Amino acid sequence: MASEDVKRLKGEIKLIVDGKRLDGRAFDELRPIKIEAGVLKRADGSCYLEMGKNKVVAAVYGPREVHPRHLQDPIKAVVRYRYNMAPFSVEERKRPGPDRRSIEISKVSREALEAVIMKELFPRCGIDVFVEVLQADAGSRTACLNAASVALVDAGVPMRGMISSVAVAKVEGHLVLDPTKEEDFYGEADIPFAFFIRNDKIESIALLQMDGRVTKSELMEALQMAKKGALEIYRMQKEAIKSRYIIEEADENE
Amino acid sequence: MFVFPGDFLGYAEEYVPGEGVYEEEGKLYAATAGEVVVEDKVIKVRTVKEIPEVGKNDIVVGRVVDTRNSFAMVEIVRKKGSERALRHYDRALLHVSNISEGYMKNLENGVRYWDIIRARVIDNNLRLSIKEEDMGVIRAICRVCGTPLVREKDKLKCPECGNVERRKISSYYGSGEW
Ligand SMILES: [Zn+2]
Repeated sequence: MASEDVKRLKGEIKLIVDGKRLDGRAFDELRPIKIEAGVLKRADGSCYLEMGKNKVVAAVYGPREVHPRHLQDPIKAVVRYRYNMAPFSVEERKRPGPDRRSIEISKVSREALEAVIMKELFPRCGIDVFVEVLQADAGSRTACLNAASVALVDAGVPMRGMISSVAVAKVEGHLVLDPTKEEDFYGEADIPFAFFIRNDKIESIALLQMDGRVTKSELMEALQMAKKGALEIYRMQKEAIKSRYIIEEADENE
Repeated sequence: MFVFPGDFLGYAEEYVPGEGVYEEEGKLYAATAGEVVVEDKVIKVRTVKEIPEVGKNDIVVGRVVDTRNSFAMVEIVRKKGSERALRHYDRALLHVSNISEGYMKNLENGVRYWDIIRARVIDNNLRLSIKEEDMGVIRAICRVCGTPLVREKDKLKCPECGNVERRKISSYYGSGEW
């Protein structure tokens, strides 16, 4: 990585060549996405998701009894979210256990999901969402949120809508959708978004973070770009649930 | 029609919202993924995965967590036909009059603390009955030494210390099924 840094300083690494990104995508193009719902037998709902090189799996348990009891809320369910990276998910082995970054990601992701989960239906209960990153690339938090949203639908947890998440980065003066690790690493800004989507329309922003520098107009442009990307992801999330449901139907008829 | 959470289903004037449907500003939306069903103006979503709720006539399995003179409190863990944690986990009540067909004076001849029982829910206030032959205790431990008791005809015997105890024994006792 050190020699790459030197190259970068010398301007030898170009992230955008002839209006194309290193992996050949257009500025507003997503990485390949693969989504499969209901992959875990013991979880109430689950989802495996690939977003570029990210490979993540989400598991939902609940509504169920909350332990310890003092965490119970008498009028609504408590949502817990754990984002965790497997030690082998990154190039250099990561020490297992939570760190500052994963605690922060867990918090903002939980808040995004709380915007849609109908917690008031389950007083004193807990809804637990676990997301494990098996292989990490840029945007693992967005991949995890997309997986968690599908897993919650798979679990039959009542929700006002769905959450779809994608990031936008600024690279060599251009805004790019769904950045890769290189674009995130050498870019000027990284802006993860998550949206509350209802009835095929974006209702509101459920998560917005920003690292780096952009102008006000660039931020607005990034928002438009992210909305378009999120709606594409939303369609794929629905497709994943639908195909799982139709397969189950066929099994029952055998 | 297959819908997803958030899909618009109609207006509140047209339908009454049922299971899996919510209302917001006069509009009805799906709360879960599944098939839309309309019956007598009630619109609901037959969800892809149900969150079990216990009601009258359901068969449940649970543990006796408290006994009093005339009743026992039972913590229900599962409803028959579902492998999933229940939507509500309130304690259920087993009254001494619902233990056997005949008169039972002492509750402790029917169930004891820490027994696991298979029971039928007899109303919507989580009252239980174990009168039926296949209902009753399915696992119990010796109150002297804590060893699981083994069925011997109509009694339970401890294989370790020889202690004999009475219960309302389910035909499922010791089978590992319920
Ligand atoms: Zn004994």
